[in-house]
Amino acid sequence: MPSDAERLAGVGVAVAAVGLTTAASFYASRPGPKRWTRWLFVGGAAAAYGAYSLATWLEDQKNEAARGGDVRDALETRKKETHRGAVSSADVPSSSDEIRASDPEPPARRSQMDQLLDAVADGYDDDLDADFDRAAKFMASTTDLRLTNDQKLRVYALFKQATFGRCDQPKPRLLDGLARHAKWTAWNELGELSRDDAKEAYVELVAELRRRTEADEGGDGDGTAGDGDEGTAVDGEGDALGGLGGPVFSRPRMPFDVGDAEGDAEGGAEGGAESIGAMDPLLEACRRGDVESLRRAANFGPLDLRLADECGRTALHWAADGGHVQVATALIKMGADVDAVDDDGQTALHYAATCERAEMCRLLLESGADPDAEDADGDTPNALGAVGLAMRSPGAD
Amino acid sequence: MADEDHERPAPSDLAEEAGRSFAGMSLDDVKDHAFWETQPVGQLKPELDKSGPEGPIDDPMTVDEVKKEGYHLPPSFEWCTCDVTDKKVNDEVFELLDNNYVEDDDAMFRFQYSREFLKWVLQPPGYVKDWHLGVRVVGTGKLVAFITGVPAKLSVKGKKLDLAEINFLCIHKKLRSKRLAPMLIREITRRINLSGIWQAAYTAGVVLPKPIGTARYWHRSLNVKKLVEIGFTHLHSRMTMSQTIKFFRLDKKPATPGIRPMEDKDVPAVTALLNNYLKKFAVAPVFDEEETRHHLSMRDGVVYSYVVEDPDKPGKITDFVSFYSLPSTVIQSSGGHSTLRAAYSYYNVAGKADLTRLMEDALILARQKDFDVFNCLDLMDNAQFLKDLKFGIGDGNLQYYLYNWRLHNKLGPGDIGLVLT
Ligand SMILES: CC(C)(COP(=O)(O)OP(=O)(O)OC[C@H]1O[C@@H](n2cnc3c(N)ncnc32)[C@H](O)[C@@H]1OP(=O)(O)O)[C@@H](O)C(=O)NCCC(=O)NCCS
Repeated sequence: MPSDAERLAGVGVAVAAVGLTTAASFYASRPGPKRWTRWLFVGGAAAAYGAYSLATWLEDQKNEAARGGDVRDALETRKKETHRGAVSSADVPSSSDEIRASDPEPPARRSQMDQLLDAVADGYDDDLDADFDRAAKFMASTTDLRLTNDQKLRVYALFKQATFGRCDQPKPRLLDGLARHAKWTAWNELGELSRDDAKEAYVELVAELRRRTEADEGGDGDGTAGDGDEGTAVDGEGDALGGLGGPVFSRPRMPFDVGDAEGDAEGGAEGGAESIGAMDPLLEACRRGDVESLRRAANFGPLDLRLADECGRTALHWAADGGHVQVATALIKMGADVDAVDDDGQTALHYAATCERAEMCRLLLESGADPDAEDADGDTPNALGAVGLAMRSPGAD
Repeated sequence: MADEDHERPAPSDLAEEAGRSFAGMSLDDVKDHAFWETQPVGQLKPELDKSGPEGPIDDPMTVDEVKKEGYHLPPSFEWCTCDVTDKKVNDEVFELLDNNYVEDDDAMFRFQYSREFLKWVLQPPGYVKDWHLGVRVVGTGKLVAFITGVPAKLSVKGKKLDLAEINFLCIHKKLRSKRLAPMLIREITRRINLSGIWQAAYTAGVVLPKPIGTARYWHRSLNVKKLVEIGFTHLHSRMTMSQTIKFFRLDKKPATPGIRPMEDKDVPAVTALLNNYLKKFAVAPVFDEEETRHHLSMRDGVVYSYVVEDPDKPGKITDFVSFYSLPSTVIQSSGGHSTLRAAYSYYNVAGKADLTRLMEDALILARQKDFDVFNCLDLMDNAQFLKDLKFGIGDGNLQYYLYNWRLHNKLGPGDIGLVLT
């Protein structure tokens, strides 16, 4: 993704502000009378946010100008499509501004609409997802990036924002360690930044860091990173900044991409999940168990409950898979077909059984799902344990 | 173009505070290590690094020259020796670690070494009680810090060293950043020196002066549903749980003919198999039979070891796999789960079997024992099977260190044959 000077400048200022802010926040949280530093903290956060918004705005302007004929364009257009089903009105605009111009709903509704769109926008831009996955994989495996603290914090924060969204962890206490505190602060400061924006910023930051490292290596002997010592440049992980000491506690860097692994195994035939188009908002809401979004979407008009993703999975499949009983109940009430099958011939009940979701099995069976439906392998939900699970579910008698 | 390198125009005390705040994660310039720079270890700053041949960094010393009394602690603290066979002391150590030991960066998980585990790792043949060092508060007797050493024999680039393996450095959360860690390290060094031992091996998640090698953790889901529920891992956004469960599903039973739990009669064969295998690594332990019996015998809930007995030649042991149990507390308990049950790959030797096939059996055996995840460092020959067996790369690097032993070049993970519990 090409970066333009303004955006980089904006990100630079943001990073600087984040750095200052982090410093100030430590200072502020030190016991003692120097309360004024808290204002510095707030100011820093505001500056960081301001600078970031500026950068994003500049980027948007650029995109606006550059629009036409490229992939982005196609994506934008798709973004403007209603997304089959989630909302049925003919053309739902993609940004809040446009909504304000054309949306007949009262203001409160608009922002809900925004939320819904935001909530589902994440799985959206598949190119971006692919770029992000590549960047994250690079960071996970590289050992030769030399990063400053702030760069590491920035990488960390954007990664978290991109993969989890808004920081929802409780603020660590100082005695939990300063590194953790700094990381939390960096993440938390990204506030409501959308996951897509975070992904984009992450991809650009990683690209920039790589460029810089390469430039450094070319020129060498510049004073700043003159150590040239592998001992200080070892952990390029970008995620774990390293707590103090350890047999270190490690976690998977990334969600496991089954598609990737299968693609590898089969000589790349299948390609990762990243190569598939964007996820439909309705399915996405059901995947997350976001019953509120579902209800709101339903308020806009009837939902297309037969809508399926690239593997033939319907909203009910996703809800059953996640064990989201409320969502599944709502879908069934709205008329979802409990026996709809995916490309492998599996019903929602197959999913619920495989995932050992007892209550879901019960709900589906009580709603008339067929325990003897054979999938492509000849497996039935019953054989996968659906009936047994349902009987064990807490509500069963 | 703004440049992050040119920032922090902060007032000097602010800058200083920030500098300290970032201690432990600085990578941009070589950070000061007030303590480690005084120690006989490889240095990160080239100007401090004493050059010389590979081998001891310090001039040779005799036991007579070692300080006889302990180092001074601040007045309200005192040293103690922790006898982990004493139930009460074992509980105290367990509790200190349970509440204060290593956590992940998001404070979601904390290692929970079991009492039995502590007894096991701290009492190998020839262990020295004095090397199980604690700090107590004078008066209340509360245990607030801990560090341990156990004797081991290591082969380092062909040289056999009697050294100490250092582990369980832990300081109560309320006493952090008070430079207590250097005191513990000095005191345990003194106690070890008193036994005429001058080298040590240890690992840490942080970069200190100076790693001899770095290994990376990889993780293989055994119970992916639980791992997602507790936030140890996440589903890929386009993948269903059902699909993921199927993807990670393992056979019910191991496939290698003749694989069975290790028994006492296998000790000589396993010792030979191991030593023969480990000698190809630059840094690896050397086990005698007593040590094999201690470290690698099956101990339920602690360490699991399996051998392959050749079906054609009864009594002939051809392969060996082992893993140890190191659960973690789920700090923000969710979905009714309070413990993450993790198995860690220990020592594995594929003699006749294919290593990947053998490790798949190890995964199956770990699943049978109800572990949620199988963790493995990318050292020894492990890189061979990680991808094929669906391990995902972790976010934790483990740094390896040697105390008072110079190596000229950093080792790759494939040169490391040592697993410290
Ligand atoms: C690791 C721990 C003991 C450090 O204590 P602390 O109060 O933060 O640090 P102190 O102020 O006492 O000492 C700081 C010195 O110890 C060093 N140090 C920190 N962690 C270390 C480790 N794991 N191994 C060796 N030295 C370590 C620091 O580098 C520093 O020395 P330097 O100035 O030369 O760099 C403490 O954070 C802790 O108990 N953490 C949880 C458990 C843990 O991670 N244990 C490590 C297992 S090996």
